[in-house]
Amino acid sequence: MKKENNLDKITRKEAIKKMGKYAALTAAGTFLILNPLKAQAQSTPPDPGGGLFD
Amino acid sequence: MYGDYWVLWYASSNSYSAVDLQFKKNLDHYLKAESRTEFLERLNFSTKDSENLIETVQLYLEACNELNVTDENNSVPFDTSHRTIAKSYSYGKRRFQIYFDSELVQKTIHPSLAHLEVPYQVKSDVVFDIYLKDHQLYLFKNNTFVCQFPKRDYHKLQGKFITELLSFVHGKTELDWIGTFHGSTITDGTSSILFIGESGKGKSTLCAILASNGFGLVADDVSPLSSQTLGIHTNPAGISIKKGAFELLKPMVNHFEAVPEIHLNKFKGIVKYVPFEPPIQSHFPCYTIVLVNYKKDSDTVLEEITVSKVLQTLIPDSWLSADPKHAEQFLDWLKSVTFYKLTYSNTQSVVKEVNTLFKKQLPPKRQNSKQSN
Repeated sequence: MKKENNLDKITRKEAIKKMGKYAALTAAGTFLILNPLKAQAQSTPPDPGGGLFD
Repeated sequence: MYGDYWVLWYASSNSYSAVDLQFKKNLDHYLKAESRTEFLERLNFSTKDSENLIETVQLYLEACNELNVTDENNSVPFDTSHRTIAKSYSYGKRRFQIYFDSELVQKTIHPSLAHLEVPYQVKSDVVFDIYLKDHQLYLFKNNTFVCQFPKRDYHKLQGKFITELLSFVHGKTELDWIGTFHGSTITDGTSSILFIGESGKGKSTLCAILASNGFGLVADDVSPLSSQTLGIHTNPAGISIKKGAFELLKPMVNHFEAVPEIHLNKFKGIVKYVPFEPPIQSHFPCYTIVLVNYKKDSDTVLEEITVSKVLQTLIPDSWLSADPKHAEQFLDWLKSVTFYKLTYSNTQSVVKEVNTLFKKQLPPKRQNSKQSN
């Protein structure tokens, strides 16, 4: 859980982006925003370079 | 509504949101209020808190409604000059063929399907071509362009390929799936349990243990939920097992040592794709999702958890159709599912626990409350 009570110190765009990343516990209540993958994928390789072709 | 949470779906972004009762109440007030003043009047907050609350709700709604922009691939003409390696496969009555341009590209797909390979050319119902050109990986089906990705995103090509393959072996199209979950599914022959968890938490190893102890493997890594059957369908790929689990599984899995070792990449190292006999049925209803947590030397502990906890792991790693009908089916399906977290280290004990869990599985719980957004 991450507190989201100081939104005025960051830009609005950053604040919206942040909302989508964390479970937020606010005076308004608790919420969580989750985005599914936009394309099907197998287990994501945790090394960003991919590895297999490098 | 699921326990103490509402789960909402936002069509414009295809995003899901789990909110508690307090937030849902505030959100409803906000959406129903004709003006800012009317909304503030309904709240029993100090002025400063009210301002914060309005700001939070507005930001929340903006974040939930950010447009869902998907990367559209432009069609690319098919090039037959990359057909260096030909492989033929058979799964049930279905035959398919894949052409690869190199050993390296073959490594992205073939090892997980090697057990289905037939040593002769067969008349195939579908032919796939996969090749690398100018650092881009291409996938074609029956000479028609499907997708292309930069080579470092090869897992996306694997995902697209497996969805095409699942559609083919089950006589469906991509539009027939509610989603493909990142998780592994096991059956007792009647229903199924979906095991989810971050990479390295032991879900594939657990499924190999269970598939070696009387249960059937439905799917490893990618578990597809059908819109028509509302069941999880079989995935023909073998279970991906990392080297760290080889010693544990060697005495348990038939012919384990005969399964070839594949060097994948620096992070994943060496893996084996272990095949299991597919179950007789092509799909099974699923009433249970288990969040897997392998913990060395721990006791086996099964505890019920919230929908919020499960969705945090399930949704970001899964593909879910943006079709409103499918989103509604997904939310309805979730209502029939019970959520658990399973911590384990001991093989015998975890098999016993999963056995008990299958016996406890109930037909779908019917709840009256329904939310669509």
